[in-house]
Amino acid sequence: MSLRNRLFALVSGVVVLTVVLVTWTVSSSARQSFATVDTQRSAALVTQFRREFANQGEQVSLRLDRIAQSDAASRVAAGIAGARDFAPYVNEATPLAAAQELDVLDLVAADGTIVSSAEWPARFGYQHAWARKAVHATNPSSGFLQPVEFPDETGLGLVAVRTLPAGSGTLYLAGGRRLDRKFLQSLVLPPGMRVLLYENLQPEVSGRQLIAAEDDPPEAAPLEPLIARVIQDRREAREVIEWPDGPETVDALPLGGPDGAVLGVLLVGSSGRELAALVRRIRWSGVGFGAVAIGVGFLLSFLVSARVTRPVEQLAGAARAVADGEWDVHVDDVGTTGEIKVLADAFETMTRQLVDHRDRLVQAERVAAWRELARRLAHELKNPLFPLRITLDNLRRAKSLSSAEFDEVFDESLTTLQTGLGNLNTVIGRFSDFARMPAPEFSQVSINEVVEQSVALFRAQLAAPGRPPVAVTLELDPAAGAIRADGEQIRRAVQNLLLNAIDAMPEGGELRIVTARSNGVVRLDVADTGQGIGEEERSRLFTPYYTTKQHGTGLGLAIVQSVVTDHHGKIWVESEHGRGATFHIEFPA
Amino acid sequence: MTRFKPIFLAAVSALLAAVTVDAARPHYGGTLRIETTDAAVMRRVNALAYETLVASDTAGALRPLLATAWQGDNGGRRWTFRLRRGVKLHDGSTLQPPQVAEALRMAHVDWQITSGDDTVAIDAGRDAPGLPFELADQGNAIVVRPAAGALMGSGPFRVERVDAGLITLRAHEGYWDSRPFVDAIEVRTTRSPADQLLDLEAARADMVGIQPTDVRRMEQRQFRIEASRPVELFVLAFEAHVATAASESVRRTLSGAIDRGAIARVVLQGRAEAADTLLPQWLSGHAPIAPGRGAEPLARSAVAALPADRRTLGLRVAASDPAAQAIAQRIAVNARDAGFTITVQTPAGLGPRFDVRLLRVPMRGATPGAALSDVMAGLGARTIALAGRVTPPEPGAPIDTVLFTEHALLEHNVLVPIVHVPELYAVSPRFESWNGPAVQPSGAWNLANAWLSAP
Amino acid sequence: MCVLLLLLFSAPAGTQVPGAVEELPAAIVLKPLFAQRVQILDVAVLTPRGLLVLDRAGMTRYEQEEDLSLGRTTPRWRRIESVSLPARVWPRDLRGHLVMDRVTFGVLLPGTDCAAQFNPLRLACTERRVPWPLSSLPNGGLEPERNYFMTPEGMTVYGGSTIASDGEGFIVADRQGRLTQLDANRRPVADLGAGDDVVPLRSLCGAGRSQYLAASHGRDGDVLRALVVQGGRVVQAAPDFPLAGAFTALSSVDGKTFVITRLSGADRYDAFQADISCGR
Repeated sequence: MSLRNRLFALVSGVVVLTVVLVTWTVSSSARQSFATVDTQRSAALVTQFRREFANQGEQVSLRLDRIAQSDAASRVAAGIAGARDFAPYVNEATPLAAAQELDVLDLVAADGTIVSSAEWPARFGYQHAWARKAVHATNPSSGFLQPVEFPDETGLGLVAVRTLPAGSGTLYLAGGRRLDRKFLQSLVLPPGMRVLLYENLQPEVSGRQLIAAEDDPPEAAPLEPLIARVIQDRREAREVIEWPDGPETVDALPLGGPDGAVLGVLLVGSSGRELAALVRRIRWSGVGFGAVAIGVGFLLSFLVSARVTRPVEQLAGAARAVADGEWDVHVDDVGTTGEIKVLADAFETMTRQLVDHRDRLVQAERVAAWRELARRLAHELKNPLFPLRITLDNLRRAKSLSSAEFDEVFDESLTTLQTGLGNLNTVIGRFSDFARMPAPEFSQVSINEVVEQSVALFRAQLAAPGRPPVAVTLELDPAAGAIRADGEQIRRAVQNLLLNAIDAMPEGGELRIVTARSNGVVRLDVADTGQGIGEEERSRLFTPYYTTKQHGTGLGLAIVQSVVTDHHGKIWVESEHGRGATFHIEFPA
Repeated sequence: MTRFKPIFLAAVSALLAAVTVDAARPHYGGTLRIETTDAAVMRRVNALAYETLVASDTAGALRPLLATAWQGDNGGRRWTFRLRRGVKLHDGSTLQPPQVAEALRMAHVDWQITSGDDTVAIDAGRDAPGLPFELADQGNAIVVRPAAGALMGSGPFRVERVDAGLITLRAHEGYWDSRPFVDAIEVRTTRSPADQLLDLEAARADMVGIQPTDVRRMEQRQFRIEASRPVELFVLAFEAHVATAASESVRRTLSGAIDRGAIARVVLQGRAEAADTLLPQWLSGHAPIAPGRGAEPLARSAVAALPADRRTLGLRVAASDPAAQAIAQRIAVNARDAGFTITVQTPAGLGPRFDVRLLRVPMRGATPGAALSDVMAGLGARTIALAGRVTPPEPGAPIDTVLFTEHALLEHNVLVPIVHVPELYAVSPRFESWNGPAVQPSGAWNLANAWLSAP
Repeated sequence: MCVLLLLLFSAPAGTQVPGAVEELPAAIVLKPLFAQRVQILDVAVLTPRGLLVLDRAGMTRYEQEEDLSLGRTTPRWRRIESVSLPARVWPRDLRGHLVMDRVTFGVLLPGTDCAAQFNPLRLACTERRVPWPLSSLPNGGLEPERNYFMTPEGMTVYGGSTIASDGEGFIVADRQGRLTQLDANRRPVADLGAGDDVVPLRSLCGAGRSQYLAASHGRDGDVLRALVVQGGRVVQAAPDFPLAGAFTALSSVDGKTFVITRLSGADRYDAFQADISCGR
């Protein structure tokens, strides 16, 4: 991974981690805070609701007081005092109840007979179930809960009882409000809260007894366990109910009758939907903010890392170029400051020095090569030129000889001169051949055949009597196949390598030649077990005219390298002193 | 000077509290405004315009109307009526005997009717000793159908106009028994009962139909109440699936559980009479002989042992009749004591299946037979068929036949009478009735004597 | 409903009876005369023991059978003779009046003027409208098919009387059920309260003063009321006298004042002679 990527990854990682941590911390804190506030609000609202309920009870008492003090009630009381027939008063309760907005109102004679009933007018003449008992048993100034019979069902009523003197007897006024949907709707509740009423008038807990203020009452099943618990324990309870559209905290308050029995359960629900929605909103806001922050962080990281690493990359690229041999690389346009700038300047200085040094070295090598060439040329030319000089001296001296001796000397001298000129011609031809290596003419050439043909040429030499044996091993890969090459040049290169290997084993040894095809290249290895090549020699091995032999032009490996280069191949050597050398050549397949 | 003992003064004063006081000097003029939703309103209106030959008085006896005298031959097969002279029709012409005969022929195609100088002779083709009573029925009013123009009668008022919801009558100036006091009568028939009461209290109406449950309230507001005799019957009629022989014990038990006295006395504020029979006593002349009381009603435990669908009944009541609803509610309460559960249904349109209906049936016939025929017509042929294979009594049938028919209808408790109620009206303070009540015991409107104390 | 107003005058000379009711010891008294089922239109006392009754059917003369001094309060009468009214369609609220003085004996009916004779009792009737003797209150007789009179000024009244002494003017009972005092030009000058008819009343108790008897309907029934003229003003002079039934007619015949009532529940008409008791 590049420095830029690593730096980018590092900075991005830090940003992401920071954002996530902050977002989680903030949303968690907010959620907890809201939950605490919601709990406190629920408790306050339940308290407020209790007061409201109690207020309703007081209202019932107040309205019943008004009825008791009204002229109409007094008239009824006066009318029934001593009257045997209550028929004229059978319809009195309904308008009285309507005037005070009561759902229940019974006018009951002293003996408990219903004179008039607003909620069930047809029930006149029957005994009232609780008016007389309630007067004696409870505090008449407050409202209380009581099951009330209606024509179609029994319901719960928040009722009170008053008495009026009726002659020597009493007229009971038993009335109040029915705890039904209308009653629940009359309760003032803040948004998000709702109230349900469970009428505990049946032996079994049943959802059918549940009354809601809204048109669409909730499903009762999730509430039944809570209701049953409150009824059994006669204590308040709280539970969080998970509805499909969100949680709800439900406080269940038991509603007792005069004798302590739980007649109903009031369920006050505080919706958690808003809180959940708020938390969701916070969460998604956090996620959104985090995403934005991370995105910005990524961008900044990218920009920062790019800005920071670009000069480094430039430097790295320049260093790579230098390593590849392109020494004339400049990094003076890094555009940064600080240490990178110092580094860039140092690099620039270094490359400049390297280039100078290389130039000087090249110049020196060139001079050395020219000197070596001149030396080798002088050496190569000196040998053939010496007999020529001797010969010419002989000729001069022969002038003084007889004609016949002169002719003999002249003929020998001429022959020597011709031989010497031939040798000079050969030396000059070699140098000329190296200088004028012809362009390769490509065709499909079988490397194995070239190796076998080249080895065949040297077998006779290797088998000459008196020569130390050299064992030749061929490991030719049949799959090596053909390469696109100039056959003549390849053959020449192979022969030079073989010659070089043979020359490296004057005491005999092993010569191993290997061909192989793999990964798109055809490889040729020529290994000997000679004295090996040292490191310094290896570096100059392919320099023209460089040789460690006493004789030779030093052009053989140079020619091999030139051929390999012209065929877009690669050549290198592996060797250590005393352990032989292996020349590797790769040709593109 | 004659000195009178103070005791006379005291006696006079005492009498004051005991008698109904009429207005002293009736005023002529004005328009009497009546509002009612009674289905028989046209019958009442027609009685003001078209008279019969004879009429029933308060004692049930006949009094002369368009006929001044009548005589029947032996067996009552043929009757001769002497017609009142000088009776003016609404167009001013004098009513002639042939017109009377023609009018009667229109109502009775099977009668042989002839007319003389001032007589009309009727041969009903059967022994009809009660024929004069039949002729007191409004169905036998003398209606003259001219060749062109509106129908004409001889009554104190003529029908001037009949619009949707409004009937206008005008005083017949030449009425043979003196012109009415008021100039006109307007009868509105589409005002709701509640609106009628409001109109009365706002002085927009002079006489409105009320329910027994309204009486007390009207009296408290100082409105006078005019009432007929009990001329309507509240009766339970069981449906076919409950009218079976197997369910007779249920019907009988339910009938026995109903406290009719409380319904009449309390629910209907004493303006009703408990009914064990279809015909009220004042009409049948007989004490109630309630049939089907031989078998004992089911005990509460026996009722509880019945399947739920047999002890739970749906009682259908007209949504527009508050008195019927109040009665039905009380029946439901009584039934509960016997172990039955009755659900009162008052649907405005179609409703769930019901098991029994509470019907309000008028009986406006002048004779027991005609009244029972009215009841049977009001119940409907289907209900009558469930009660028994009984046909309405023939016109003029003797009372025994009528009572026999009634007994047959009640025998299996498919019909359960509850109460008889009168027609009730509340009248405004300016409405006065001279020389008799505005509503006669039969329910007929005595509006020729009505006058308005204020314009 | 009518209120019978009875004007009472203090009896002995030198004793002035104030106009307020509560200060007058007088009281209205009614002497029962006759009762029957058919509507009585008017009665007249024929001295010494005779009674003439005008009703819807006709006119009948009666003779008293018993002496009231024996303790009975209501005399028994024996029918002597009767004559039918002309066969006509009479108004529903039929009013009739017996005219009897030393000179005239007749019957006034709506649109009909009848001359009557005794021995035998006969009526000769002519269809014509003649003024009724409303104590000199000008009128054209009962309006056709109606039960009221109309003055020359167009005022419709059920009855009226002239204020003959201690001032001039009239007292009338209009169709709105009010008694009104009129001046000599028959212009209204005072409202005297409720009243549906008014007739003059001659009583020894009120000798020398204009006295009037009127009837009106109260909330609790018909009552008689007494009025007296004092200083040109008409004031009530006796407590209201509640009637047992409904008043149907007031009349003044031959100097006597009669009240006809109807008991609706009993379907019975009663005739009374009205007078004032001075209470001494």
